[in-house]
This record gives sequence, structure tokens and C-alpha cells, in this order.
Amino acid sequence: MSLFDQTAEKASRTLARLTSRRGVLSVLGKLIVGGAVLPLLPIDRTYGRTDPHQTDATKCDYWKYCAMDGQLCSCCGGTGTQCPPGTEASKVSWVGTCHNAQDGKNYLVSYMDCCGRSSCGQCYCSANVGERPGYEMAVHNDVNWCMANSQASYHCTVSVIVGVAE
Amino acid sequence: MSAHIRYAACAAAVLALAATAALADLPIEHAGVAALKPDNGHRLYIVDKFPPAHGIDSRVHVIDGDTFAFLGQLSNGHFGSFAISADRKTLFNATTFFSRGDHGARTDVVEYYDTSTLMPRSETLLSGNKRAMTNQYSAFLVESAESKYLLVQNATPATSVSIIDLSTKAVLAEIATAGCFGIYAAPQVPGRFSTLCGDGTALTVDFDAHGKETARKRSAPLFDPENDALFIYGVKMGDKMLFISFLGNVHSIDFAGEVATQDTPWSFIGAKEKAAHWRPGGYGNIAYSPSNGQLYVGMHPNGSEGSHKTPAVEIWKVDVARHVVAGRVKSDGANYLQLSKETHPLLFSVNVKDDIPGSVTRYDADTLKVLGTSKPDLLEGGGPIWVE
Repeated sequence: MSLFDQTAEKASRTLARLTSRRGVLSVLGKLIVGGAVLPLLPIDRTYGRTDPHQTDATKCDYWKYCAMDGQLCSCCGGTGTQCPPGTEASKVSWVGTCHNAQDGKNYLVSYMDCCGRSSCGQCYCSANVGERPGYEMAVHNDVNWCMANSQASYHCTVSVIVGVAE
Repeated sequence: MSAHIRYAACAAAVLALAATAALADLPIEHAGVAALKPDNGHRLYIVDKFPPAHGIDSRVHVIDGDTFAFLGQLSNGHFGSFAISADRKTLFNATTFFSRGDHGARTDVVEYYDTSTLMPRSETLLSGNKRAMTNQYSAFLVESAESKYLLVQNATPATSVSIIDLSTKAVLAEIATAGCFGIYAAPQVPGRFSTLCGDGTALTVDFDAHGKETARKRSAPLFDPENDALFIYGVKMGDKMLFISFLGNVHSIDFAGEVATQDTPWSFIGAKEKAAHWRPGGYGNIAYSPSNGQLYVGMHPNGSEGSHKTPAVEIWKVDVARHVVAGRVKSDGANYLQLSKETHPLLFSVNVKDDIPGSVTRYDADTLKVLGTSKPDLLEGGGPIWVE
């Protein structure tokens, strides 16, 4: 991982940990103004109805996919958090806030696209809770979040917990 | 010779003649290129929706809206945007290609195709790897008033707009639009566009003949992005544009002046339907016909936070002058709507459901009667539609 990537990931995790959703938006917005910075991508199928009890990361209703819109890397040779071999994680991403029924907490989740291969074509899911059009880019999932990578083609999407939502 | 023997001899002779005829050589054939069927106002352009279909080789399918027969195709690349010139002579195709298919050097380009031949005539290279790779809506590739400029949405994810002079096909400039997304050209002023912003305002930018920004003015708050966000796509209604919110409020926004303004927003959803949580949904699920003054909206019941991309369960016809629902029809998952431009318009929907990869339905837009439906897998991924 390049120094830039590490810096960007650390920045996004710190931001997500320390701020509310609205706060994340405002700070990310300022960072984005300065140029390409943080990561994510987009698309469909539970339409707002994931299951806080679901723990299977190959299912569209997996609790962490509440703001998902994309093809699950867990169906494409990767896992819920790891990109498939041969791809690279996006440098920028979008965020969501999802409820985990196991511990009753809300988590800030960063959705990162995996890049450099064509469409995986498997397990397309779309939940979109908290998703907004591109004028709120940090919570927007209709863009290709591989956009800032040197290999910018979209393959699939993973999700990682970046903090507990306050 | 008996009668039956004469009959048998005659039959044999006929068979021999038939055999001779069957053995005659077929005419020589020559391969060629078919002429595109002339545009009758029902020509459809439908793009593959990604994902799941066709990631790096998305296609624009040219389809006969009367028969649903394929007429031709062009490539829409990776997360491309598409538009048609006001004079209907040119297809604008803004997209991204990679030198090795799904990897390698990235090229962002606007291609200009001839609508009568489907051949590319020229192109504009876009530098900087900035073009917004996005599910496409009509707001991302926009022709200005008087067809003078072509405006291209960028996102790195920092947002900006590139301005192309359509007389020279040269990129004039890039204008930063931080925190805002979507392009809405002023109806009368070529050097003016607006964009919607994350604080619920619209930003209006003026630029000169060199593409240099000369003014920017922000409107008063027009919508609430947190509690009732506006879908990014608007439809033209005269010199204004109609937008719809996640909860079903209609915003008529005027982008003509230096500052965007709007009429008082209104809702067409009655108390009973509101209680059943009917909401708009889908990707490009509104259309407006100036012929009959009706707004068409893809709707679903039991809506909730996050349901705004749900394909339509019904299509509602809304009388814009009276603010009431004038008709409803069931839908097999309309995700995109578009109208023909005739006096009694046709409504076309592109439908997607679990068992429908991509079909097209044609309605009488006045009566909402279904006039025809394509096979369910006409498209591998039903995406945005244009009718010309």
C-alpha cells in the first residue's frame, strides 16, 4: 500500500471514528475539494431492507451492507473485507451507518471498490440506507469509486467497519 | 395408353421439371451494410445499466420502439454518459476506455456519432482522468442553450464541469463546482449552467466565450438533502425543470437567471397513499410531456429510507397544473421512463425485475394503455432510455 493510500485510509478511519454522519460529510467535503482523497462505489437489491441479524457476507441482506450498491467481492474470489486476487482496493470510498443486532451498536461502514478488472458479474446488491445523490458525494454510491486509482475499472465492492457511530 | 398410365407419365414429367428448377443456382450475393431505418420519432436509444451488465463494454442499443427490433449499436465504454443534440443529428458519447480492456492506460473521450449512420465523426479527448464515471443520468452530459457548448461532469471525487466548444470540439476550460453535482443548462443563455449542492442550494455559474468563469451565485435553500433529498435528474418543462424528491414532492426550478429560484414545492401523493408509504423510486423514473402537461413517475409502496432505487410497482400520471394523480398503471419494475415528442405521446419504460433482465413497455401516454411489451430479456441490463 502506498504512503498516499495509507494516509487516505488512516484519515478516513479517523474521520469516521470521531464524527457523526453529518460531520463525516462536512469534513469529507472539504477534503474532496482539495482533490482525490478517500474511497468507494455503487448499485442494487434489497432496496433499504438489510437484516441487522444477518452475518453471511455473501448475502445481500448482510447487516453491514445497509448502504451497499455493488457486486459483492465475497462472491468474486475475495471476502466481505478483502478484494479478490489481482485487483486493488479503491483509494476513495463512500460511507454508511449500519446497525448490528449482535451487540446492538451502530457502526460506520466504509464501502470500497476493488479495481482493475472488469465487472465480476456476481451477487449484485443494492440497499442504499442513507445514500444520497452525488451532491453528497461521501454517501453517494452511483459513482465508480475506483475513479482515483491508476487502474480505474470497477470489479466488486467490500465493506469495512471504520468505527462506532455515535 | 390407359388413362392412369398417361396420368403417371404426366406426373413424372412434372416432377422432373420441378427437380430441374430446384437445382438451379441461387443468385450471387454481396455483403454490405444496411441503411439505418429512418427515424420516425419512436427510435429508442437504451444503454446497458451497470452493474451488473457489461462493465467495460457498455453498449447503446438502437431499437425500433414500434417493434422492439434492434437497429444498431455503439459502445458506451466504462460508466459512459450519453446525450442527443437538440437538432437530433449527433449522438454525444462521453466515456472511458482502457488500453488493455479492463486495465492499462485510461482514455476519457467524447465521441460524436452521426444519428443517420451511427458512425463516429469526430471526438474530443478529455485530459486529467477526471470525467465522472457514474451510473448515468441526464444531468451528466448536457448541451447548452443554442447548442454552443457541451458540458461534461467530472468527479475525482472533487467535482467540476468541463466546457467543450461544439464549433471546434475543443475543451475550453474546467470550472470547479465543489460540493455540487449535476449540470442543468440555462434555457436561454449559452454560457450559464447550474448544479445542485449538498447544502440544498443550487449554484449558478456564468462563463465567457473562452470558458472563463465570470460569475457564480448560490440560490436560497431549495430542498432538504437529509430529510427529503432531490433525485439528481430533472426533466424540462418549458424554461423550468421539474425535479422530484425522495418523498414525492415536486420542485419546479428555474435555472434561467443568475440565481436559481423555485415555485412552492407540492405533492401529488394523497393521504391514503401516503399512509401506505408510496414513494418515487428507480434510476431515471420521471418524464414530462409538454403535449399533455402530465408528469410520469415510477412509484413503489411500503417505501422507507433507502428504498429510493426501487423499480416501479406502478407508474403514476400526474397532472402538473392540478397537482393531482390523473392515472395509475401497474409496472413490471420500470427503472427508466421516457416519452415520445408527438401530440399524443407514447410512454416507454425500461423494466428490471428478478425475472426480467431488461424489457421495454410501450404505453399510450394519455390513457396508460399498454400497447406493446418486448421479450423480458431484450436487454441484458435495462438502463437509461432516450426516444427520438
